[in-house]
Amino acid sequence: MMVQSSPENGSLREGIFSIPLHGPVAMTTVPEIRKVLLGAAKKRAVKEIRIDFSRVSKLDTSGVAMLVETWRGLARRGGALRLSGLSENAKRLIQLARLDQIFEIRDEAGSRIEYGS
Amino acid sequence: MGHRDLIDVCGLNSHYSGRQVLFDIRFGIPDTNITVIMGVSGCGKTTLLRHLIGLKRTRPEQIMVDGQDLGKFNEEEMRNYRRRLGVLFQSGALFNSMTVSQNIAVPLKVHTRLSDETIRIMALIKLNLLGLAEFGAFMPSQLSGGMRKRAGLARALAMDPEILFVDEPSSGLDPITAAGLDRLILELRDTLGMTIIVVTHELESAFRIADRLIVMDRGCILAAGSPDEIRASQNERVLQFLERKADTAEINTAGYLSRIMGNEITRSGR
Amino acid sequence: MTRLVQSLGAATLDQLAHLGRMGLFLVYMIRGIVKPPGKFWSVIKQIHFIGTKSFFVIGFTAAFTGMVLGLQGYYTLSKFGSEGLLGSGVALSLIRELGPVLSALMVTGRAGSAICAEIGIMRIDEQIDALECMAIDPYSYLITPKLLAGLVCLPLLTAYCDVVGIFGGYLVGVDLLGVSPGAYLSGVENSVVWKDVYMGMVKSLGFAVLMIWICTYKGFYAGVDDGNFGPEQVGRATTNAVVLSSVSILAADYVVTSILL
Repeated sequence: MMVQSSPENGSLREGIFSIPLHGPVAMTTVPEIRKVLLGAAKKRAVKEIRIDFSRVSKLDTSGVAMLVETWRGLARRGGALRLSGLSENAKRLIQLARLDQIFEIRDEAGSRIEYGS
Repeated sequence: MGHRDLIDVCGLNSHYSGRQVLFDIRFGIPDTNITVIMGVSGCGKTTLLRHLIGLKRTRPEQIMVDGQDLGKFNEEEMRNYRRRLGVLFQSGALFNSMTVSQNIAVPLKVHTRLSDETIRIMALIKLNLLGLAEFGAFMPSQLSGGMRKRAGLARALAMDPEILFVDEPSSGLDPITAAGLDRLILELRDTLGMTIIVVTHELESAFRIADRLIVMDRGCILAAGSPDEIRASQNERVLQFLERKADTAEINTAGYLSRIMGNEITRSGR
Repeated sequence: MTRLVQSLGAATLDQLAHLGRMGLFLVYMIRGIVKPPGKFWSVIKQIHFIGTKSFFVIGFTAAFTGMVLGLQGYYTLSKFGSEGLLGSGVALSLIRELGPVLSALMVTGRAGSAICAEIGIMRIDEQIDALECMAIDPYSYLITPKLLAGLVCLPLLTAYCDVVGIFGGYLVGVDLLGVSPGAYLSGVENSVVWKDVYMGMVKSLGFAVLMIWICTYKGFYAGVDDGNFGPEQVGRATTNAVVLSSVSILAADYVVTSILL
């Protein structure tokens, strides 16, 4: 049995809301995770959301759509969404959706990854 | 290639109103590969596809999915199997009372608890993948045949299927759109690791995308193998198909004459 | 001789198989009520289609039927000098017989044919196959909302038809032929009892099931038996559906009447 994402354990520090996700981020789990992320994106104190994907087993299109919604909520107020620890497959999916331009994707070391178009 | 077989067709026979249309079909469909089933029209490839997606009843022990018998699936197991599938039908099969976006949203609304906004973005992502981002609000009747087919593929991909079945992707499309569709099919395999089964009679497209080719003729498998193996085949019928020669020697003179004379003759085996 | 028996037997088996399939279709259609997906909005949409759009045509039919009943009733009753019974005559024939039957026939012609064609087109265009491949139950998703909408619409349309018809009869009987308004209306009030209304409503519910069942079934299996999914199959299915529904409605009317009377 895969561990379900328990998004309650996000933490807010100096305007940065960091949240590690685990298990699948897919159609079955997205409705719950979405609530937490959109809730955080709405808060005025939150300037940036950092999502750690290193323990995520699967990301599907519904997860990407959720990230778009989160990003939109933040971008309206000039906030940023940073993703880290994405697997190769997850990165490919975001690329396939042509959304790699709008998220800030960091690898483990924290450096920005550049993609060719 | 080191891939396991996701679907194993082991001795499939099929009948259509008393007439046998498939004869002891045997092949495997390896996962994360593109398998192309090709042959002239009427060779039974669409029937084979209908068996694989469970639209035509299969007898036990003829098709195995992940080692389980498709012919013995109950309603629940069939539903679970089908949730792993995406199917693009020949006509696109879009629901014509809904817009393109609503069409894509149908499986998501029925099967998930996702919010409308998430579903809207997902539909948009899929439409953009097929170059239809501006056409979400169009009704299917307002689209050209090729666009309908691409919209149908967007809907087939809505649930991020693990296995994708495509019936005649490029028939009725202009060469440029057809090539674009082929490239997308390759991209889906490479980026998402999808297992893809394509049924087609278009040679160029088949050789462009296939990891594995199955050539069918009159309800039997004529040849199976990698594109190079098929090209090197010495089988007469395969060569005829590859070189697109018309059928000439296949007229049953005796039967023809006896029909002209008005005699009933029993239908020959095939 | 053996050949005759053989073909007779084959035809019988064929018909039995069809009946079995039709019965199963009804079972799936009813089972769809409790199965997902939720169908509130699709039922509303179907009510709009079956009910609202049949409103005008049924009003028209009912008005003229009521008027002709007034006319015929008046001349028949006047032979016995009992013109005062016109109100009861018109009301009873409408509420017990004509209301449910006419509404059902008009809805069949107006909406049943369209439903059959809609589903038939979905069949020949592989849309029903597509639904199945999305693991969506086509009965629950497509057919059941129409059944529920029919069950809501037909009794309402029947009641509406009764009312319009009675006023049509009033128009002719009272305003044209000079029956006293009080006699007409009290005739309606005194002769119609709960059992008459009940009978009309039972009929309209039964006709709704019958009509939706036959029209959706014919569309659902358009071209399936011939293995030919050409557009002409939809036309044929629609004609068959309308004829069969109309005949069944009339036959069922007799059966229900003989049971309930």
